Amino acid sequence: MSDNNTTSTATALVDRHSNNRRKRLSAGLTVTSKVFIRSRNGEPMKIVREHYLRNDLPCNSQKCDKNCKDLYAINNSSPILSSEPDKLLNGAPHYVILDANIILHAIDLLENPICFHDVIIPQTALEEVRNRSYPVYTRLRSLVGNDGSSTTEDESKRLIVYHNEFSEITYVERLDTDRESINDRNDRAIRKLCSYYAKHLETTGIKIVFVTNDKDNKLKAIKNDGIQAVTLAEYIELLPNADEIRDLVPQLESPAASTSKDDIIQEEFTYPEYYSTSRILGGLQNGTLYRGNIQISEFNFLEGSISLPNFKKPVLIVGAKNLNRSFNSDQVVVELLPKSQWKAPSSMALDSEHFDVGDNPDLDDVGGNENDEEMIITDKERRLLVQDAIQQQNSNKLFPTARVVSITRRSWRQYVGQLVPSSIDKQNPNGVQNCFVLLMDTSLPKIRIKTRRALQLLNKRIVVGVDSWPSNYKYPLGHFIRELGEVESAQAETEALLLEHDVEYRPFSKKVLDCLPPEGHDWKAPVNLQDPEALRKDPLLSKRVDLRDKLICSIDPPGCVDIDDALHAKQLNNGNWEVGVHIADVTHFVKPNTALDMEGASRGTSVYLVDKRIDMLPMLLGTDLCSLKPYVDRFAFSVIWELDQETADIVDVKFMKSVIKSREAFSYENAQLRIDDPQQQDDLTLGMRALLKLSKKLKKKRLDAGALNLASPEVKVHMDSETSDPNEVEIKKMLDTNSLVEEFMLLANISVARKIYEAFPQTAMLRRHAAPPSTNFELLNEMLQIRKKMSISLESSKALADSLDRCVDQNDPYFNTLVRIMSTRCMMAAQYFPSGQYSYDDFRHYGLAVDIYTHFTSPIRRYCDVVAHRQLAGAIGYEPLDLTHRDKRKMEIICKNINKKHRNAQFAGRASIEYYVGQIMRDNHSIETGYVIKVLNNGIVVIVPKFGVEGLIRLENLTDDLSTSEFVEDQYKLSFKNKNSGEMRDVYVFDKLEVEVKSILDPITNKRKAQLLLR
Amino acid sequence: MVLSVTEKSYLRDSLKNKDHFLRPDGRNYDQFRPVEIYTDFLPSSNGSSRILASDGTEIVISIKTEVVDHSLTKDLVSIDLDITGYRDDSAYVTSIRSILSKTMKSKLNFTKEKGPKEKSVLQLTKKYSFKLYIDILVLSNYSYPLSLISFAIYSALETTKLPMLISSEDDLEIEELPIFHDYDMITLDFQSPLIFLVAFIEDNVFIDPSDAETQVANKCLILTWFENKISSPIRTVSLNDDYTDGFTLLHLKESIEVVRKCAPEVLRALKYQ
Repeated sequence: MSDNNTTSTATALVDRHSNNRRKRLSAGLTVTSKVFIRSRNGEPMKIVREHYLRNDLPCNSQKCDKNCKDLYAINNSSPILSSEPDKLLNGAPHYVILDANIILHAIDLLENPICFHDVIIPQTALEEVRNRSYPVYTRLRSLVGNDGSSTTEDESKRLIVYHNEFSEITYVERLDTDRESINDRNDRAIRKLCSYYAKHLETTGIKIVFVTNDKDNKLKAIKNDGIQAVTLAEYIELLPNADEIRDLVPQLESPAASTSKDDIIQEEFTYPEYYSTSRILGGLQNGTLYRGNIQISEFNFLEGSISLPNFKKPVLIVGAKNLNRSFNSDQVVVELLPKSQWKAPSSMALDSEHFDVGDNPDLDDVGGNENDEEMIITDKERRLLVQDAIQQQNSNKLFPTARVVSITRRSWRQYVGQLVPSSIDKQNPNGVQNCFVLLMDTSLPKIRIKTRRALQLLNKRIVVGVDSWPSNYKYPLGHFIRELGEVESAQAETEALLLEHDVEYRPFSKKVLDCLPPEGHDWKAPVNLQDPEALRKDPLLSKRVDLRDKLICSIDPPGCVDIDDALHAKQLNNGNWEVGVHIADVTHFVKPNTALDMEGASRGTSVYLVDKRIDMLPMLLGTDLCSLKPYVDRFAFSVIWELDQETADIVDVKFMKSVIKSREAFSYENAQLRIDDPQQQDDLTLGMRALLKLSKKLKKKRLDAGALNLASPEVKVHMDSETSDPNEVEIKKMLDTNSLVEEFMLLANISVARKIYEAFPQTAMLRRHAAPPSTNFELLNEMLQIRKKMSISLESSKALADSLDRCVDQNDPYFNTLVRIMSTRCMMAAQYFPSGQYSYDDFRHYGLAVDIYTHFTSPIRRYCDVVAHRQLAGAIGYEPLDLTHRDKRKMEIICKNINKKHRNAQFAGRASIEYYVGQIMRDNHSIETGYVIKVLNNGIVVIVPKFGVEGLIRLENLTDDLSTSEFVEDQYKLSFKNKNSGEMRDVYVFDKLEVEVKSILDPITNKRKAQLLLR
Repeated sequence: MVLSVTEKSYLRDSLKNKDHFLRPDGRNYDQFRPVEIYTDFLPSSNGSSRILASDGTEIVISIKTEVVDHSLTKDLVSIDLDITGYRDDSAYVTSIRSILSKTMKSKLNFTKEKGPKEKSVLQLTKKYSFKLYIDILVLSNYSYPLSLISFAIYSALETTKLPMLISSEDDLEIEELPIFHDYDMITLDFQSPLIFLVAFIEDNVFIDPSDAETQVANKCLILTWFENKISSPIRTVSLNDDYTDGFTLLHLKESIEVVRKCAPEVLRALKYQ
């Protein structure tokens, strides 16, 4: 038995297969695979994807002398990068390639027409931008002209995306050696693209400049690849017009030229570092950390609150360190603080404008250093703490507090503000200096910017962007974007408030306008619905009902040009009334998934300012083709009921697309006059009288069911017709005819809501209004109880309505309205939602006291109505419903957006009124009656019904001797020594006061606002 | 292939004779049939191997991982075995599966460092561990596959790469969800046990019996080799119904002897690179 050859046959053949080898599939197409690990909920997933590479991607340069020109024919495109690009200072024509960090921080600069023409965006950078910041990505996308639909206005920019990840030439594989990180690999991919372009265009004389702020990447580009690589600041210096641009360069986290002085000072104040992602995820999962959107108090910018699912009331976050660099409405993760740090919400008013105004932007440190003892608290103890906190919320004394440990999503956008004059060094007019920008939104901190034009920008409204907030800076770093104009000039103020409320006010793009009917204003509804010529153009025409014989009229506010709705009524043979509501058929012109539709969906609503209207849809549709103007044929979507003549109950309802001809367009006053005029006995007037009668019955039924009659201090500003200067404020009046239209619109909305819910139970576009949680009314009820021995009942909307009716002060007729105004603020906001999101019981509209509701009647100015129109058209079989409106997830996205836009539009409208009211009061200050609605530790909040303004009267303005003041929280009382008489005076909530109203310009914010002073 | 009585008798005679020991394929008593092993060929698995024996037996193994809370999940390894031509619940399959599971479990829960810092090779953090899923597919099967399966598992584990933890390991007091590097992996530092099959007839023992040999062998001994020594389990298995003699201490001694001799060689051959 020999054993000398044992090993030879036991040898195993081991063959190693490499995953990263490219395989050619056909000419011009190779496949490789990408492997990566995705961590999700602590679970690593190995993902392998096939990745295809091609060799037919053109360079997009007009001057290219290689064979790229043959490649455009395939896509029917043409090269975009100019053959005569901008020259650098040294005279070299150049294209720019951008790194992702430049796009992320300098998107404003990219959008600016004065620089960055002929730019190549590597796909790698584009993808990184998309992952890091979606808003920046969409802005970049709209700049890029090579998606096949380049528009004229973008042509001067000539931005292209080179899909280097899909190109055989420029694709790079991740290296197994040296543990190359994905960032390093991406940097290498971008550098490879740079070398490719440099080589490819070598013969044309066009230089490639690679702009990156990543030191390492820049160094490697220069050293290893021989590319001209510069930082953004260096690049700007290379341009002939550097002087214009220099100020617009954003500040980045570690400014290369950070002076040693900066470094030393900033050590004194540091925010706590954020937790690691793994800790956040672990904590969220085991219930020791919570995620939510932070709400900074409008009265105190150092106090925030966050609504968390397990807690009945919002959890407080108090102090700069605990807020830990969060901005209002950021999505943050919080951790509860130990019990010893729980506190009552402050009853102080504190805003950033009056806080630390003397701060020197060069000396960015903070005074109040709390001894932060870092204790280790285990998760077990934290969970007990959560239990305690939830219990604690039942009492009123102490509130659980929390601190921000991470910011998941920043709400950063562009902000409007103005320079803080005291932060400017006037001795140094032309040098670069750090200054503070105070934002219009007082719940946000000051922004530190670097500019050399500080003096020119003083007293101007400026737009700034926020770049970063390192933990060792007390205030966030930002950069100047552009100026809007002088403070208080109507144009600058209007633009500022549109920007502040995120209202898209730029003119409609060409892409959008291209979707309009080519006939323009000459568009006419076909005379004969069976006309073969017209039918050929619009096969659905035959499904339209001809209602041109009905006596239809519209009733709107005077001067209304976008007429959404019209009405008619006719008595039937059985005595019942046929009532029709006809709504502009916007969806005939706005087809789903067109650029026009997308624009409408993104704008969500028209915005009405005092002097301006920002349309959701282009003028041509809103004021002409869709508008139900009198005397012309218009397409409409009609709801026709048979209503019982006695009870106004619905006997029957029909929905149809129609063509109508309005006989008259009335204003509310004119309609009222015509109805009241006994001389008028024509059919149209008779119909209107019937409508009025029916509407009163409908209203009564609605109020009986518990619909609320709430109030808000709405005022209207009259403008001088010549100078369009505001000259008078008026409280809006309600006529019978207002409520006539309103009742039938409500009825139409309800009928349509039922119909579309029946047809699309999961995705019907509905609107709900939740019952207010009792906690919202707690404070108001307590104030009423203590001061007036009254209370508001919350059992049902009916009970609420009745109890509101009982809140009457015999001596003061306005008191009831005041309570209604304050109740309105305790209500929940109504919201749009797809029906699948809630159960039927939760569809209820609390304010209107109906079980189901939608918006259908104003498609010209609300996007919800557009969707409702399409769904109704689908429900009655007029045309199939687009998939977007049948997909629950997509509907949720639409609803989320229009809810937000709707709210913003309301705020913008109010801000506009506030501004004009301020302008009117500018010259005439007067003594008015005001009511105390809130008593704070250091002031009182007073509302003046005549102007619909409210304001804080600070303690300093109430008394000269601050030490005499006494705040009795449970009595809602503030006592102080009166400034004028020197006697002690008590002010309680609900007190009626004489206040001096004048408009003042705040010296720090440059914001004009109503200054109230107690008489 | 089923042998006739005559064939069996001839074969048995040639294998039982101490002096004229002759295996049908001419091997020595301590010689293996050649095998080919391919590793790491399934891109979406963490580790994989494919083994081809000269008699046509082919086995594919894929190893995947999952992260589990080890206070809740005791078993950190799950073995799934599928043998072509046999039902999953047949005695043949279940017995092999149970031997494999027992072996792997006892060895994988093995702790590297004894004492208070006791830690399984699969432990990730104080709270979480990897769980291995070993999927074994015996595509064709011409002789008792246990030994080959253990070789294949060895090779697969040898090339198994686990995601690399980048978050902290101490998550007992303050919980953290493990976060992994998006690309880098670390090699699993574990040499799985090898299982050897030794057949005996009368006084002769020989390793790696072929199908024909198992039909005439008295019994087979299963021996495990782990950490450079013979390890549990040691078992017997009958692979035919005709010869059912027991084994003696001598058999065991000689079997251990032959495994001791072969195992290091086999290991060396299986070693990756």
